[in-house]
Parts: sequence; structure tokens; C-alpha cells
Amino acid sequence: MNGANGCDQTRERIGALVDGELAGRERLAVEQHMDGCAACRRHRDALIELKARIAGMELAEPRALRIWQGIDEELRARPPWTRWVAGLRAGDLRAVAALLLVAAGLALGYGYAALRRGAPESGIEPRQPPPIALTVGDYVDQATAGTPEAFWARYTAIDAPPDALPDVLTDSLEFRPRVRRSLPGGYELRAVKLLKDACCYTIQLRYESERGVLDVFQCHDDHPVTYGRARAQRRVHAGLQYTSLDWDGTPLQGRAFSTDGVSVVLVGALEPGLADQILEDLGQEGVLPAAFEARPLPGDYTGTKLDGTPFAGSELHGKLVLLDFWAVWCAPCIAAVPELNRLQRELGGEDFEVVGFAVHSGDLDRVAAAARELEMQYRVVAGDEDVVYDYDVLGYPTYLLLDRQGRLVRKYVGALPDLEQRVAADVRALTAAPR
Amino acid sequence: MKDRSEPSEAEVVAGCERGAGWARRALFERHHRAIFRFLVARCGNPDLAEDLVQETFIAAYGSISSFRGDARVETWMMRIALNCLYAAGRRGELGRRKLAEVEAGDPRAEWLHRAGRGAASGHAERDLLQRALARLDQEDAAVILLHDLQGYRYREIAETLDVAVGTVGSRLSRARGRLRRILEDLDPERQETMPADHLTSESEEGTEIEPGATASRVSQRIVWSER
Repeated sequence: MNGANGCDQTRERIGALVDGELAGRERLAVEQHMDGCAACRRHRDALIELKARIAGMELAEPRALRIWQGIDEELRARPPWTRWVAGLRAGDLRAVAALLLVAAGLALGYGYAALRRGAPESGIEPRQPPPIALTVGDYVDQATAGTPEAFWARYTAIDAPPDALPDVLTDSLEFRPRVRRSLPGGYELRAVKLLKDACCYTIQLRYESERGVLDVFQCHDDHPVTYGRARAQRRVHAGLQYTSLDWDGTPLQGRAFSTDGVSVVLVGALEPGLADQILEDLGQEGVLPAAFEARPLPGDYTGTKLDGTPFAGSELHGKLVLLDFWAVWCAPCIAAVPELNRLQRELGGEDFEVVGFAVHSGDLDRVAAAARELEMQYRVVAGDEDVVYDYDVLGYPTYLLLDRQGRLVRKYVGALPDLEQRVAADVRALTAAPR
Repeated sequence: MKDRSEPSEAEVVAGCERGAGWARRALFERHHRAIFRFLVARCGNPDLAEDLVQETFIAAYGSISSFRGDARVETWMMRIALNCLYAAGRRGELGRRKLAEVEAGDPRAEWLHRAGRGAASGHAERDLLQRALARLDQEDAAVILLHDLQGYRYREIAETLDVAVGTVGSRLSRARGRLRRILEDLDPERQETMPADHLTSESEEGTEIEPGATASRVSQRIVWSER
């Protein structure tokens, strides 16, 4: 079969062979042909090379948040009834009813609008977080006042080879150029922690000097909201000039630093008195606390139920509780809702309950609307935000598993692919244990 | 419980039909990157690709009730993306900027470069491939990208393009032959490493796409404006 004619016939099959789509006798025939035909072997090699070149194209990555923002805005700009109409199947009798309703609605709407003409426009105002008071001292104030470039220009260059940095950083291209071994004022890098896959996808860099501790949080551009930790530091939430997106498409505006692609939050301790307080709080630990040990929590977790009545975590003593710290703008939190629904459905009852503890999510109506739209089938409360700091919650989602006395027994941080399995295993182990 | 750690495809589709926010988001999270990569490889413009991803998902949410489950969601979504791409071609949006201009205007290029990943050679290679792909007609480029970039099997490509499985192999073979010749034209230095193609029948049709091509051809092709 060799020769130009045989090659013509074999050409297409060589492609299928290279693509792994050829089997049996066809595959054998092509291989036999190539054994005796150098030109077809070169053809095969060229195909393999071409495939590798296409597969290896270095393409830009999508800016997921930007795209999602556009989608969400577009969907929300449409009248609510369009979604329902879009869901109708062809031939569905409801289509007729929908058309009638639309016509009636339009007529009513025009009439109503005419009646209300001149009245102030209603609707949800973009949520504006309260202004952040920076009270920690000149250094931070200067940094926040300056441009990002000026801010980073104040830092010295990395004086260690990149491979000396923890692997988690070298894996994270966005952050690598931002890491500095030392900062002005004698601050040296002491500890690094990557909260991978948490909503904020945050790196925490801890600097220390004789004057105190400075935590720098760096976030990926897509999740640019980070909140600080530590009780004494809570006043210093410096954020970036970020624009994020609430779950309902509302832009969130905030104050923070922004360098291209990276958001930075400083939780500083540069004021001498505050630094002393922080050192006292942290004790001699000097590094991030190793959590996860069974221990009492500082105080109860309180909030407001969706019906407006007060909620206290102590109401749930006697059963295990999975306390889900989530926010309405937090994509990984939202993605976990089906898993939490299943946990509640399969394990919930007298011995276990899932509690969605919404924080940094606006008013009660907003939380209630989110719970409804996201189809949360477990208890949801608007949590008191002090709990975030008291319980040392760094990013969202964070899940705390509490025992029957309300003590912390497990902590799950971030968007975990096996959250459901882990929680289920822990709950089963705990419920099997003697009370 | 392993396979239940996240909602199934059917659950997500059903959720999207109800307009559930988590389901829409889940659909987006699962598919946006693959669709973006396909589109950006084809059109070479990240901003335009992002706009087309947006169009794709809006169209998908709007027509999710027409998804019958006889294909995978991924291929159904990719088909919508292809339609959006074709529509952009018909609107003339794809040929307005040269690749170099796109490159210069993309802050992520600099970002990748600084991160040490986007070496100059990598950019040049991508540039070359994208220019070559841009000279293919839509169907040829689609079949190559779906297979070699997205890793689709022939059956999945057939599902996406709505053609017979047997057609995919021949179309892929023809498209690769054209792409190889275009690459040789664009990068003569590399020609030495390519085998002298003895399958001359591949040259039966020119691959240069002229702006003055007939409307029906233009509607199926992406044309780079080589100003």
C-alpha cells in the first residue's frame, strides 16, 4: 500500500492514530504502512509536534469576576418575568398564561408608573461599607494616602533568592513579586501563610520588629475583600481601591491599596501603644496560631434570625453545630450551599444542625433574600460581626464544627472539595462518641 | 458520598432552569475557563473573548430549558460559544484589531512576563499560532482547537459541531494540513524542521482570506485586518 496513493489513503488515519481514535486492524494497518514509509512517519511526527504546539499555547487567563459581573448585571437588568418565560418549554400551556400575564402586567405597570410619576426612585442603593478609620500611625496613613507604586517603592527588594520562599508563594505567581523580606522601620518577614481557595485567596505575611507586628494580607484581584484578624487589630482594616461584586450585582466600594492585580490589606501595629497591646495579645507565639484544637470559644455567637428576632448560639447547645461563616458576595461560600443542604438533610436533627452565619453582608433583608434565592435549606442568621474577630475567622468560607457545649472541635477553612465528606465523617465520629 | 461532593450536572441544569443563583454560578465556574481559552485562542483578543464568554452564558441561561440532556452540558455550551463567535465574525468585531495591538493593550501580557511565565519566546509562539489559526476558516480552526487545545474526543467534537463522527477525522486532517502550510508561510525558519509534505493534494484550496471575499465566506471566517 506504500507509494503516493497509499499515503493519500493513510493520511487521515495517521491523524486518527495520533489522536488515539484508531483501534484494531485499522490501527495495525496504519502502523504497518508507516513502518515502510519514511514520509508518513515524518508526517506523523509533524502532526504530533503541531498538536503539542497547540496544546501548549500560552493563553491569557479569564478575569472571572469581571465576566461574572457582566453576566449578572445583564441578567438583573432584565425584568423578572423574562426568566420565568425563558424557562417555559415549547408547547407549554403556561406560555399562553404568561403572555396574558405579561400583557396585564404591562398595562398595570404603566398605570402604576403614571400614578407614581414624580415620586423618588426606589430600589436598592449600592452598599457602601462604613468608612474605615485608620488610627495606627503615620506609616500606614502615608501608605494609604500614596499611590500603590509609591507604596511599594518604599519597600526594599527581595534580598533572598526566590526559591528560598515557601513553595506556596512560588506557586502563586501573582504574589511573588510582592513579597519583601524586610520593610522600612526594621520589620522583618517572620511567617507566611497561604489561605488557598478561601474566598479571599489570601496570603498573610507577618512582619515583626521591636516596635511590633505588622500583618500584610494580599488578595487575588478576583476576591479583593479581606478582613483583618486579632482583636486588637480590628480597627485597622485598610483595603484597596477595589470594586467587587455583591451577590445581587451591587458593586461594593471600599478603601484599600491596589496594585495591579493584587489587593493588599494592612493590619498594622505601628503605633507604640497598639503594638504593645498586640504583642500582649499574641503572647510569645509570634507566628500564626495553630487552631483546630478542641477549645472553648470566647463568648457566644449571636445574631439576628431572618424573622428579626435575636439569635444566640447557646440555643443550640445539646447538638453539634456546623457554623458556616459566609457572605452574600462570596462565590466559594455560595458554591458550597448544595453540600450544606445535603449535610442538613442527611445528618440534621436532634444531634446536628447547619447554621449559615452571614457576615459582612448588609442588612437583614439582603441576607434573607440571598438565603431564599440560594435555596439554603438550613438555619440562616445575620451574624454579629464581632464574632468574626473573636473567633479568629480570616477568610470566607470558614466552617467551625462545635460540640454540644458550643466548643470548637474542628475548623475547615476555604472552599474544600471534600467538605461534605469531612464534615460528615467528623459528625458521625462525634455522634458515635459517648456523651 | 464521594461522588456527591458537588451538585451533579443535572442538578445544576435544573437549578438554572429555576433561576437559582448557586446553579448559575456553578455552571459558570465549571465552564467559563474552557470556553474562554477556546475563544481567546481563536480570536486572539482577551477582552473580546471575555465579552463572548459573557454572551455565551447569558444565552445559555436563557435557553437552558432547551437542553435535553442528550449531549453533555460542556459541548452544548461550546456550541453556544461557537454561535456567539460566528455572530461576532458577522458583526465584523473579530478583524478590527491586529494581534500586536491586542498584545500591547493587554495588561496581563506584562503581568505574565513579570511573573516569569510569559517569556518572549512564548509570546512569539502564541502570536504565530494565533495568526495562523486566524487564517483558517471557522470550522477548520474550531475542529483543531476543540481537539488539540480542549482535548475533546471525536465524538464530542461531532456533538459540538453537529456533524457525523466520521466527518471529524477527515476535517481535522484537512485542517491540520492547512494549518501546517500556513505556519510554514509565516515562519519560514521553522520550515526546515517540518517534513517536506508529500501529500500535495492538501494544497487544493488557498488559505488566504481576503477582506473582499464573498459575504457567505466571510460569515464563516475570521479575517485579520493586516493594516
